[in-house]
Amino acid sequence: MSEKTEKKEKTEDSFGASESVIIASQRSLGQKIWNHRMVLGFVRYPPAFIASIIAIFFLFFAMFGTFVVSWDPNKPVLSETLDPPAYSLAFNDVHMLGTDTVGRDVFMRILMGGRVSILLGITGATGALTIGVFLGLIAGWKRGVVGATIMRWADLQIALPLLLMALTVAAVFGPGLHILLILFSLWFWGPYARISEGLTLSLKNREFVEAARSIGCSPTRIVFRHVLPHLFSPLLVLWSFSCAILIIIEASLSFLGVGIPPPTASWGSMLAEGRQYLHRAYWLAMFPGLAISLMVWSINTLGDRLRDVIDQRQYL
Amino acid sequence: MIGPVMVKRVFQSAIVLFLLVTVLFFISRMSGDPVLMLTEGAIEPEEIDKLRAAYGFDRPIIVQFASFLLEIARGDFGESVRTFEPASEMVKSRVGISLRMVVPAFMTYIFLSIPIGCLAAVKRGAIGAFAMVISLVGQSVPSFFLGILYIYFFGVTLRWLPVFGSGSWEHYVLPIATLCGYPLAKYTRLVRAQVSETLTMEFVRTARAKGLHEVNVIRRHVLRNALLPVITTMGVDVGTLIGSALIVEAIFAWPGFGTLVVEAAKTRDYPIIQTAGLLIGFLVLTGSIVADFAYGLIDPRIRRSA
Repeated sequence: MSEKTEKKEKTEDSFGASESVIIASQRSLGQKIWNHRMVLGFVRYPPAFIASIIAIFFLFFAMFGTFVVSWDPNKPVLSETLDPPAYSLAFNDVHMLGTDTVGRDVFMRILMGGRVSILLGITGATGALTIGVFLGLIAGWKRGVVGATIMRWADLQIALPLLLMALTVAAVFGPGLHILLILFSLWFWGPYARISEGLTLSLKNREFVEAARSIGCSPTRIVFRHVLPHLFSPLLVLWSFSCAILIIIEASLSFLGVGIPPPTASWGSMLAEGRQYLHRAYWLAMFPGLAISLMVWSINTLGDRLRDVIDQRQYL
Repeated sequence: MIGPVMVKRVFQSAIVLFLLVTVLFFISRMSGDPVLMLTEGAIEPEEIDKLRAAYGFDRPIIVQFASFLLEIARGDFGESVRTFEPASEMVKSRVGISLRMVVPAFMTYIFLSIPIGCLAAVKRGAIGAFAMVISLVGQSVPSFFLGILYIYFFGVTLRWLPVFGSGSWEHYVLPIATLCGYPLAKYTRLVRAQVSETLTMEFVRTARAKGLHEVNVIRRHVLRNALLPVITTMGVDVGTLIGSALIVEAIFAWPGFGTLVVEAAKTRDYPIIQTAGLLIGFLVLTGSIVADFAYGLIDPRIRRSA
């Protein structure tokens, strides 16, 4: 039986991450969720430290950029078109990463473009997490027809991957931020549901659930107060990886021209625009691309580290 | 036995495919009036009713859905609202062009990732570390940026390779290299993880103890066990591969299936998208069934226990 479920998880996993996520969670069951040694151990690994700084940098500008930056990153300055990157100690006067075809500062647009990408990634992943965990808990607890129905809907999301679903939806509704946000939550909960279902199934027969039942807890209480806390660590790891995936998907859609409509800056659309000027102005495409890669690398590194730390916690 | 399990898998996939048809149908009706969506309002009011009757949009939605299912069963996927060609023909003619890029790319990353991953697991130290750093970077660079980097260095700066068009073998190098980037990194990591895990098993110690050459130990004992999860992942990854082929086609102006889909999404040509979506769903589900089947064939333990 155990071999069968293991194989099922391997087959139906679309992240490549969940296998070790499941192992990690099984080890960490019933342990304290955070302690200071864990946080210290987390940043002591140099790549994780660098990754945290990069992630915090982009996140800061995504959240508070409009308060820090005094001018509008979408406003054209026609006297300064296609200025190459320049370096000076007086960095307020020069365009560090150059300017684009209508004279907008590339550095500012990258910071502002991160706003859309990162916030969409985080909110999308959080929405998907909420839906997926809720449905996964139900599917794992109820099984039967209800469980099977939920899991077939989860399979559907693998059959038509999010990027292609987004193109389909764009064909009907046209591009737009709120459409993407809704779609990311509604078409990305599958992996969360799969992990929650699998873990709920294995936790259901544990002694503490039986104990809770024997003192008269209602099923709702057991699921939310006794089962759900155990899912915390694997879900956190999965959440970080899915933020990275959603950032890439948003950038891909904007790159293809069906994501965030202009003039709002977005990493993907900046890259698509810069592609046409590669022979004249490399900085238009290189720096936004570098920003996406750095952000995705940071999130993946943090997620990896998180998984290792959760995995190791039993030895601390 | 493997039979009943496969029957169950095929049955489940059929249900998923039916759900997909349903979702694709209802999305097209969700934006309100399909006639307004197709014509984008550029039409006289009295014409709307005529068109509505012509397309059958004035019937109850359930009747429309039933007739939609019937048409699909007959192989009629509707026609493009731009060119009025049958959608199935348009999709079919483009898939071949895409396969010319996807198949070599698939072969390349499979045949490269297994030896590299293996080497990285066996030879720790510099080689292993290098392979891992490269693959970690490869996993973080999205394919559209990788393609642009290639174009910039090999096309614009060095002028070694053409960046657009088709014809000679040189036109295939950059698209295939771009398409390979992410999967190569991912599978190298996966193979390495699997091989180094298998190397700690006791049967490996036994094989070495009985005097087998290290090459044989790896080839006959380690790889056979280590590659099982790789096969399953490959089956699941069909969807990802199609998605990245779509982006690579957009970068290199490759007139294949992906370009057709993106164009259709931009011009809101829904019948094309619908047909493409069904084809993708079918391919992904078939891919995962084939991978499961292959798994059962290769691994006798699954064959017996399942």
